[in-house]
Amino acid sequence: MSHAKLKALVFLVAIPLGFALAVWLGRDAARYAKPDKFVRFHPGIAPESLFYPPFSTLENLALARWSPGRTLVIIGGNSILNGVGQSDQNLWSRRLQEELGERYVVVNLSFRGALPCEAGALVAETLIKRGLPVILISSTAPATVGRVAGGTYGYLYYEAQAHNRLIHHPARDANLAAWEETATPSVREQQAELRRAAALDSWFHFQALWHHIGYRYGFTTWTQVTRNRFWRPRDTILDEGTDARPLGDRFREQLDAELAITRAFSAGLAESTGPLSWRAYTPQTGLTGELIDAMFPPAVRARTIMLLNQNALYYRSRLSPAERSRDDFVFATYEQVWRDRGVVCHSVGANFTDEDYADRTHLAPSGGRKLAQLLAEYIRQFSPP
Amino acid sequence: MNSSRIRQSGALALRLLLGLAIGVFIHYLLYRLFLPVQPFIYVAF
Repeated sequence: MSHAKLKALVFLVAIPLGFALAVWLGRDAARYAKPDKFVRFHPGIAPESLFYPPFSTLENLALARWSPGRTLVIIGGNSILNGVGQSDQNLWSRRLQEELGERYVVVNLSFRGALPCEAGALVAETLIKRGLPVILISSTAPATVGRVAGGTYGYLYYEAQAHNRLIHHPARDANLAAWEETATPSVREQQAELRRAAALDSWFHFQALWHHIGYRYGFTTWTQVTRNRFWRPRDTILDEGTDARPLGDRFREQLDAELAITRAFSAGLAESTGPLSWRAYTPQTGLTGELIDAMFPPAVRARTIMLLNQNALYYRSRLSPAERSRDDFVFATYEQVWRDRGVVCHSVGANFTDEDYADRTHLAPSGGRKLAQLLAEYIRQFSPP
Repeated sequence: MNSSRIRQSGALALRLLLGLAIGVFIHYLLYRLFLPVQPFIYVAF
């Protein structure tokens, strides 16, 4: 063979070898890669900065802390449980771990803007599938369940499914298929692309490898959040979440808009049947129940504590007596909707003070402490798996 | 003679490294290809 042909052959063979090497490294990274000293997903390691932690990272965070004899408390849900309004040191999930002691391992896998069935809920599901003792904590508003696909964190569902991590739950498949059929062509195409990405990733493990490199060695994509030094490794970006502002500075911004949102929590969910008497709109309760059934497999529902978050007293106290009564009715109604599906459900915040809220919906450190104490009680009451 | 062999070996090693780098780069492209164009913007409701 001539030297020129040999060079060409070496070059052509080296390309798939290099790719195979990356796949091998990615497969390895999927087994161990996770953020160091993890407390919560802050914007530097979350989709706000184009960092989409792979499903394997979430699993690794939970599994790395677990040991036999301990129960995993997986926190899913949205910015309320992510601790917006609390600094890293005053984060409510740290307090929950202190309250529960060593028998429990608390892992906060909540994301800002996540639905109750996304992210942490899927990790809890995969851990339940493995037979580990798990309690899922999640939070939402009345009549809000959503779907595991279609949102910012929908990629986690497709990844978990492609890696065969989820419990077989035909109701979820059917619901998502029906939803996709009625979705716009662009949404359908987006879902198809996410499925393709997850299927390819299950073979080639590129998400685990390049997120690990982005976290440990350097990030290659410019983002608004990291614009000044976008290349720096994400492990050098600190959690800059701050505690709530002094009480006198809270709540007054955009008071009308926030009050309108507070009213809207229950306005479309119940109709008046007399003075301070209400009846729930059945399409909404029915749809909520259907989505709970579809998005949470029975085994997960049996291990879930769902929290319905009340708005801050500052706003609720400005509602009329009729509006407050409707609010109370709606929260009680939707607690029951979750309970009817086998989920432990509690409304939280009704007895909290202005001091306990950072804004209309997020908790200040004192509210976080109260939430941790309440939840520790609920968790201890939970029957062992 | 020796310097010619060294040059040839060097050329082969270079092709090998280049090929490996391209293979790894294709793997990286898969990651970049599926990265959303716009980041998520969080707004509380």
